[in-house]
Formats: sequence, structure tokens, C-alpha cells
Amino acid sequence: MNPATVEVVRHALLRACDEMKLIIRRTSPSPLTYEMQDFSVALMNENADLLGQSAGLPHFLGNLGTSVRTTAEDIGGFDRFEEGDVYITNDPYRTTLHLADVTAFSPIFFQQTLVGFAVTRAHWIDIGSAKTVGGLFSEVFPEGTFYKSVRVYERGKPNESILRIIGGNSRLPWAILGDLRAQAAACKIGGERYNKIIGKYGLTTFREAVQAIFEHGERTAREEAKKIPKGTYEGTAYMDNDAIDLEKSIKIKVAVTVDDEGLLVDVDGSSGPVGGNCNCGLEQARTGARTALMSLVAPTYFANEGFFKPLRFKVPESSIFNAKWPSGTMFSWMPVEYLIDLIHTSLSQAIPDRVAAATYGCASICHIHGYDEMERKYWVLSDTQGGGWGGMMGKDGESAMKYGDVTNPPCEFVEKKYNVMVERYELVQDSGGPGKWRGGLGVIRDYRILGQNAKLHAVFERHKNRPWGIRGGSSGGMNDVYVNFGGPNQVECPKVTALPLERGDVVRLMTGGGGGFGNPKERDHEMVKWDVVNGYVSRESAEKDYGFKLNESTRKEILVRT
Amino acid sequence: MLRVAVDIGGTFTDLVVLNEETNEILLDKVPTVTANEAEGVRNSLVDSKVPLASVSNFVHGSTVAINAVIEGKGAKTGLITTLGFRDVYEIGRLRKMEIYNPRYRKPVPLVPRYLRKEVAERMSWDGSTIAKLDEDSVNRVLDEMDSERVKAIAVSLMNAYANPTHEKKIAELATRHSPTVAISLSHDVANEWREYERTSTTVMNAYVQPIVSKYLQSLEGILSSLGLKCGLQIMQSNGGLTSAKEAARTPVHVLESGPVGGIIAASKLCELLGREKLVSFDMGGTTAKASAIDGAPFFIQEYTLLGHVLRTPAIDIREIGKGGGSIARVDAVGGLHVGPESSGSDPGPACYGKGGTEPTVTDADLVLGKLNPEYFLGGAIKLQMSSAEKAFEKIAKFYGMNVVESANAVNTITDEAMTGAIRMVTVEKGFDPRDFSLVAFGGAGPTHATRLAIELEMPLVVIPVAPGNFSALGMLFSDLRHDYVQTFLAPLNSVDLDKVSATYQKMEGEGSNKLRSEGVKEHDILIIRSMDLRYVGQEHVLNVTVEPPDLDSVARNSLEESFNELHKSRYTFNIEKTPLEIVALRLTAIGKSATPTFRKIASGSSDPAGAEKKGRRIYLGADYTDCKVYERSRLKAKNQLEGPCIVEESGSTTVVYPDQQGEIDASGNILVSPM
Repeated sequence: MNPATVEVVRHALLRACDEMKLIIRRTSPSPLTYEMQDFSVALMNENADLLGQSAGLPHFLGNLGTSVRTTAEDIGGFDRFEEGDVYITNDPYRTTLHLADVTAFSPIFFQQTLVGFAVTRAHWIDIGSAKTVGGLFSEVFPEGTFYKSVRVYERGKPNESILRIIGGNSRLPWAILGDLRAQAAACKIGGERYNKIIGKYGLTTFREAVQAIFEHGERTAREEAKKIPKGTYEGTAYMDNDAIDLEKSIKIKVAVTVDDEGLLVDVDGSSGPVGGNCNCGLEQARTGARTALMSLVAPTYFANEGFFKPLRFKVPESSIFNAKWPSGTMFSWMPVEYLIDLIHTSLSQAIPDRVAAATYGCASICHIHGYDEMERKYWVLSDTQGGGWGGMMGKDGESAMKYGDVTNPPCEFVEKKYNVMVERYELVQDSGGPGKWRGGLGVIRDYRILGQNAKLHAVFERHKNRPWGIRGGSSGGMNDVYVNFGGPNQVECPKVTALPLERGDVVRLMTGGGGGFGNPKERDHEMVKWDVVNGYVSRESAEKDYGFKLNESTRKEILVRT
Repeated sequence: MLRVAVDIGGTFTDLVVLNEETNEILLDKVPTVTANEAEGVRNSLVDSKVPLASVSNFVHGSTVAINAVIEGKGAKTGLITTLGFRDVYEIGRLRKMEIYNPRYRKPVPLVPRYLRKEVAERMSWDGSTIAKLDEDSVNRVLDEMDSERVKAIAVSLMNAYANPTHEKKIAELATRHSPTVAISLSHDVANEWREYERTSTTVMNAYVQPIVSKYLQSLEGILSSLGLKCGLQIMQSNGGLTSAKEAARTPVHVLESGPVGGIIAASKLCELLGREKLVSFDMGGTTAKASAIDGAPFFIQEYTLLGHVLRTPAIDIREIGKGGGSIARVDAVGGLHVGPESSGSDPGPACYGKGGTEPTVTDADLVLGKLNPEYFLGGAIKLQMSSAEKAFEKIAKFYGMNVVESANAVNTITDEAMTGAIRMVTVEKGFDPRDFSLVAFGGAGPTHATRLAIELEMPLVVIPVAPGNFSALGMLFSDLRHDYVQTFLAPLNSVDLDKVSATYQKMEGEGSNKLRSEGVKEHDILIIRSMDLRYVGQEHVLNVTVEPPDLDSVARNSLEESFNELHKSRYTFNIEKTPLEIVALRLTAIGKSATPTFRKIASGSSDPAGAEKKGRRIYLGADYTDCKVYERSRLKAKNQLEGPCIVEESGSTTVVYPDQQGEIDASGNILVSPM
């Protein structure tokens, strides 16, 4: 195979994905999609193997293919797909994270032959769950509408009846139908571009090039995996709770075996199914392991199916990582994020230069919603904030960052759009876990409620069990949610459903910091000084955690190691 | 009278002098004096003996600002924000652009946290005052900034786009308090909502402001001591000119001025050739840049520089890290890549014989026979074929190819990336590249452009005269230009038309006054009004020109039509009957400059034999072909070229492929089209 052809095809696929992403971002009416970019796109071959993707959410990218495969299963096979079809699916047991993540995809035909799929997945802001953000339930039914392998466009024509069912089951029909329209447009463009590439090289050469792209990915991942010393490495951590029984923590255990075949990730020893809605489907768990694998062996590449080849994933039949119908899955990202961090933690002895301490725990989800009596419309302010990332050898963790190319809603934007005012948006001092390389800092955002009848939903994990450090580093600050912080009527509520809010109440969202890496007492003098000068670290913490003290004789910011 | 353009690049300072009476053009290139760019300008002027007293326009493009950013050598800058918001600038938009990479780094703040200070005040989204500005807190903050010896202060308050009163008050207090410190206000630099983007832009402005203003002062001093009577004009990222005074005040608008000269030149050239749609393609040593033009260039309102988001209008350019010096390599597991690493000018490509051993695109061009080893940069550098071939041995051996095949593979990858860039700047806007002509310049542009045109089925490639100096030439064709924006959220159907008019009038007043103060005559002032519109509920906007300029109900309907059409062509669908919403009013004030004409060259017959040199074999596609070679300076108007052949000149080499033909037009441009 000519290396130039392979490279040309690879780039053309990535560019087509970029175009798909642009279409969604520019045309979706849902802030969750256009402003926070909670979506992903990909192109796949006729077997639904991942060929190329655009930067988005890593949580989505490892299992987009199963959305296609399970749909094919449900409709009676791949030969049932027709040109111009758009299917949606959100099956949390077989493919996605939770019902709200809706995959929309189109088959791609080249001269009547099925040659691939254009696939998109977006978080639909409201699919009619009993409480807007899903609430704390133990079954799937109140979590929203289940779209199981639904053909929404038939040979290029939308099925209006089905669109009415979708719209009729949402508080914000304009938003989710807009998402669907944007996703369908992206699939159309993706298909056109894909066909153009095949048209140029011919199907045979194209398939050979795709094979070479997979082989390149696989070789890259295998070569890097070979550098990890063989053996079995383990890590354990505890989730705060299952979001319903707030007192009982949930065990997550990961064993990573490195052998000639690559990496085996085994989650045996983790909790069984839980009563709250943080059960995670097998495919979503596998995607977590794939994300971790990419971060260890090919961190700067765009993923394709080849990179995933050295990974085997093992899960017991009864497990929090093997959700079965009809258990609740709304918050299934919680165990997934433990899984990703624990793979790093377990390998911290084997490859200390590649792993990071725990992150803030990521999807810190908050919805403030209300019903506008005047306009007879629901409004939903959806906010997920960034937090601190774990320290690594030679690098402090980043502050205020999310998991992928996703963003926050700007303060000026939410003030104009919703009945709230933002009173503060700042980094949290001392939230970075102390270490030779400290964790990044979390953030605080305060919303003052200006309207009536608002309600608060929040799911903030890693509150009790804070983001942990590795190799002697300490924990980062916790995630937390307050109403009226510091006031006489203060309520602390990191996990809460439909808490009524009064006009004038202040909701404080606080995200955690990353864990530290290495002994904080070994942290470089200048770096501690810089942290104190800038207020990232308080003088108290500099003394207690890092062993530096203010020089009393000069009263200047000169610290001496005690 | 003479018109002069001086364009400072990383390696060379280009000078172009146009005699307005004779249309004669003088070109000069001197090495850039990196440590003191103003001195480099003086050298080039003295070197070329330009009589500055008879210069009517002096246009300048410089890399002072962008270099300060890239090298991290901007001024010590402070930031003043609303109480509770000093970290907005560091928090940013939370994006992790390399989604798997645990070592990914967000942009490093140009203002460290200890220099970000808060003052008590608050505006609402609708412009009403929630809390008055606490002037004591301002003075306290200014004292602290003074004791830290900051040289520049950025002020970015919440919702200042809706009401700038508090920012203006702070500027007033600061000017009184610290008269030597440069102040940048967010509503002045980027008057749009979204606090992070506005702040980031304002900080960048403040960060480079002292350096740019000092540089321009010293340059103005030098020029007037050499006898220059007219004012100095500076190239901006938006392709227009501004006065040195204005550039010194808002330098963030001139950061990306480097590549825009060529695009302006390309668009003027095509005006003269009677072609509206073209892609300008500029390929130099380390990068290639493509930009689409449909009557006029396209603009973007935001871009990033080293991760910092800048809300400032710039010509939409797609830049890729592949140029003549880009290095080809095989990765650990057998993938072939070109760039973004570049051999630079030292040691340069392997064939320069200055110690480079890695194969580059220029080496590939040489191995394939496209370049003449004796005539590179007019013979200033003798290229060494043996070194180039040796550099390709590793790649050849790895894939079991011969050296020529591996050089061809490297060229194919390079050209594919370029066609990708051209496709992105056209297709993304709903255009078909087959409707566009390609204007190719920069040292390596003419060597690669003709093959790109074949790939993209573009009907015409134009190789202008002096492709190496084309960018500087473009500056002479530029107009003065000032862009204004006001975030203005309102439904299009029920908007208060008087309020819209009043807002436009205010911007127009500012724009025309500025142009008048820059010496533009009334009848040369052109005002363009446009609106950022979107469907209600949608977020992203499309910019639509308001015609006629006064918005009445008729104009409103035609706006709606234009928007629906544009939406369909960009995004495959539109949602007719959905009401539209105004997001921002934009206004561009242009001061037209006289358009120079290109000078005619001597005319000849269709036979180019008079320019023929010794022929050679070049590798085209799959095999070697014998090619005729022509000397460009000896070609005459009306000469016809038959592919395959090569046209050589001092600064560049044009390849005409089999099945292509060339023609020399009256001004000496080479027009290459399919046979």
C-alpha cells in the first residue's frame, strides 16, 4: 500500500469529521450542544468500526460503533439499512452512557453498496424524565424516553409521527428536535464526504487504506504497551454513594494485567448492581477503559478501531459495570470516571512517568430549572463545571478543565438567558492536591436566583472521597453544592433532586481539585513561592503541606523550608 | 508621487516602491534586523535610495507585535475585573483540546493571578447599573499596580458590552493616577458579550501595546528624519490599513497582518483579470496559507493565538504547517508524515548543503527535477542533488521504494494537505472549488499550485509577476479600514428600527471621523452595515449585509431571505418561517485608496522560443518526462506555453503539467489552464 494514499485517506476522513462537528455546533439550538459542545461525531466503515473522529467527548467515542451494531441487531441486520435513513438510539444497557445521550446515524451507500456510517451523539437537554436532570431513581422509566433503534428519517424523509412522539415527551421540544435536525444534517454531510473519498480512490483501494490505518493504530498502541513492565497491577477506590442511599459507599476495583497480548482490564471485585441510577452498561465501561488506554499509549492521536485492539475488558455478569434492564443508569459516568482514574493509579508503580493522579471527577452536573408562567414555557439552565486535574511527573495538574473539547456557559450568556445572576466565578484556593507536582484547582460559581419557582438538581461526586493523590501526593479538594453558603439557612447538597429555590437564594457550585503526585515536601521552592504569591496555595497550606514558612524577619513573601 | 510598502518578515524585509506616474515598480529585499526592526526599515530605504520627500503613501507591515507574543516578551500587564471575576481569564472555557492527553496544557495566562485585581461594581445584562463603581477600590488597585510597576492595564468588567460607563470611569481615574501606563478597555477593544473572550482579547491588546507604540514612535522618528512628509499607515489583520496612532492604541488588530497583503494583492489582481472567485495560495518555507475570495475576502470574528482566544476581525486564512522546509519522517510504526517540523533557514533543506540531513519538501522538488540546482534564489544558493537524494534513502529503504518514488510520496502528502486546506476554505462556505481560480505566490507556491489545480479541477492558475514580493505589493492596494461592532440582542420582526439606526449612526460617526482624521476625503469614504442574525433559539450567527443601508420593513424582508439562503448553502438546511433574531450590529468604515494599475510588459508572438533555456527531465506523477525550460524575465505577452514545461525565475519555479497550457498576459502574469 502506498503510504501517501493511506495518509491522504486518513486526513480526508478526519476533515470530514471536522465538518460534521461544525454543522452540529452551528445549527443546534440547544445550549448544551452549541455552547457546551456535549456531543461527538465519527465516521465508520461498513462493520461500524471507528475510522475517524473529531475532538469531542472521549466518553462517547469508544462505543459509537455499538450504537450502529445494536440497531442492526434490532432491525434484523445490516441489510435493512437504506440510503437516506437516520436512526436514533439511546440504549444504556447495550451502547450509551444514559438515555439522554442520543446517537443519530446514517448508513452510507456507494453505488448501492453499504460502505459505512456517519455517526453523531449529542446529550439531549430534556427527554421527558420525571425530574429534569433525571432525578435519583432506581429504574430507567422515570429517566426519560427510551428510543430503541428508531428510524426517524426513512430514505431521506423525516417520519413526522415519530418526531411528534419525541417532541411530545420533552419539556423543551424545540431544543431536542433542533439537535436531531442538526445531527441529521451532519450525517448527510459526513456521508457525502465519505463517498467522495471512495469515489476518488475506488472502493478496493479505500478499504486497503482503511486496513492500513487500523494496522497503524494497532501497531502504535502495541509498541507503546510493550514498554509497560509485565505484571498485574491493582487499584481500589470508593464512590461516595449510589445517589440514593447516601450513607453507603460503593467499591470500585480495577486490576490491569500487562502481558504479551496487551492489556487486560478486569473490574472483578467492584460492587454489584446498585439501587441508585449509577449502573453502567458494559459497552460504556469498555469505552472508559479505551479512553484510559489511549491516554497511556497514544495520548496525542485521534482514535480509530486499531488503537483499541491491544485492550481486553473483563466484567463479571453481576456488576455495577454490567447494567441490566431496567436498572437506573442516569449517572453511570460516576463509576466510569473511577475506572479511568484507577487504571492510571494501578499503573503508577509500573510507569510513573505516564500516569496522573485522580481528577476532580468530571461531570459535576447541575440543572436549575423553572416554569415561566407568563410564557408558559420551561427553562433549564444546565451547567457542568470544570475542575482540577491530577498532577503528573514533571507537570502540575491543569485547573478548571473539562473532560474533552467541551465548554462552560459564559456568565454573561446565562444572565441574559435565564433568571439568574452570577456573583462569583473563581478558582478555589488550596483545592489542588499537594504534591511534588500538585493537582489543579477547582472552581466556584455562585448563581443568585432572580426568578420564582426554580428548582435545583445536582449530582456532584467525590465529595466524601476526595480526588486521591499518587506516589505520596495528597488528595485534592472536594466537589460540593450549597444553597446560601455561610448564611443562617445554609444547605449543603452535593446530590439533590428538585430542591425548591426562593428568589434571592444563592446556589454555590464548587468543583474539586486534582490529586497530587509525589511528596509535597519535595516540591521546588520557586514553585511553592509562585503558588503563594498568586494565592493558588495559602500560607497555611505552604507551611503544613509543603513545609515552607513565611520569613518572619522580612514579612515579605519569602518562604523558608522548615 | 511614490507609494512605498515595507513588509517585515521573519527572514527578509521586503520593499516595494510604486511610481504612480509611470506605474514602474521597484523591488528590494534586505535581511530583517531582528533586534531592531525600525533600523531594518531604515536600511532598506537607504539601500534602495527612495526619495522619501516625494512619497505620498507609506504602508507598513511588521511582526513586532506577534513576535512579542510568540517569544513571551510583552509588557508586564495588569488586569482589572468586576469583584468575583478575576479568574475568568484563567478559567477560560474549560476546553481540553487533546482529549486523551493527560499532559495537555491550557494557554498560559499573560497576566499572572497576582496582577489580576478586582473592583466593586456591577452592570446588568441590559445595561442597567446594579452596583455603582466604588472609586476607592479603583484607586487602591491602581496603587497596587503602580507598586508592581505594571506597564499596561487591561480593564474588563462584567456586561461592559451593554454599558461601558464604569470601564470609561476607570480609564479616567487610571490616566490621572498613572499617566504613563497604557490602558485597554474591553468595550473598546472587543465590544461583544462572553466575558472570557472579551477579556482575553483586551489582555492581549494591553500586553503588546507598550511595545508596539514604542516601535511605531521610533519608526515615525526615523522616517521623518529621512524626509517623509505623509503619515505612516499600518496593515491590520482585517486586510485594511489604519493610522500608526490607531495601531498603537489597539495593536491587537494588527497581530495577524503578516499574510494578508498577499490576499489583498490577489483580490486586486483578479479584479483586473475580471474574475470574482479565487483562492489565494501562499506557500513559503514553513507554512502554506489558503484563503477564499468571492469578490472580497472573507472575514472571521475570532481566532486563537497560542491558545488565547481573540475576538477581532481578521481575514479568514487556513494555515497548514507544510512549506518548502517541512521535514518528512517515518513514525515509529511506519506512517509517513510531512511537517510541521521545519528545517528553517539554518541548516535549511538537505540540498542547501549547510548540514541538514533530513529530507524536506524542497529536497523532494529538487530530486523530482522541478527545481534547477543552479538557479535557486537566482543562483544565490547552489543546491546539492546528492545531499537531497541521500536524505531520502532512509524513507526509500523503509518502504522498499527508490529515492525518486519516496520523494514523490512526500510531495503527494504535502499536496494533499494543501488541497485539503483549499477545500476547507471553499467547501466550508458552501462553494465548489471548481468555480475558483488559484492565485499562487510565495517561494514554493508556483511549484505546487498547478498540481493542486488538477486535483481540485480548478479552471485557472495565476502566477503573478514577482511572486516572492507579492505580499508587500498587496499593501499598496489596501484601503483604510475600521470595523465596529455592538452586541444588540433583539427579535428582527419587532426591533425598534430607530434604535437600530441610531446605533449604526453612532458607529458611522466614529468611523468617518477616524477616516477624516487620517486624511481621507469625503467621497472616498464607504460605509458597509451588516447584522449578525440567527434563528430564534439558535446560537451561532451568520453575517448578512444590510442593503439598502437604512433598515425599513422592505429591507427587513430581504434580510430574512438572504439569511435563509445563506443558511441553506452553509448547513444543508434552513428553517423557513422561524423568526430571526439580531445578535450584533456591525459596521465597516472604508477609506478608498486609488487603485494602481499593473504595468504592461513587451508583447511577442505565441512562440516562447526566445525565453527557452536548457531543458531537463522531471518526474511527473509516475515517470520521468522531458521538459522545456523557460526564463520568465524573457517571456513576452501572448507567449503560449505547452505542458509539460517549466518557467524559472529568480524567486520561484512554475511547473506546467502535461494536459495543461500556459499563457503570458499583457502584465506578465502566467495563466495556466487545462488543455
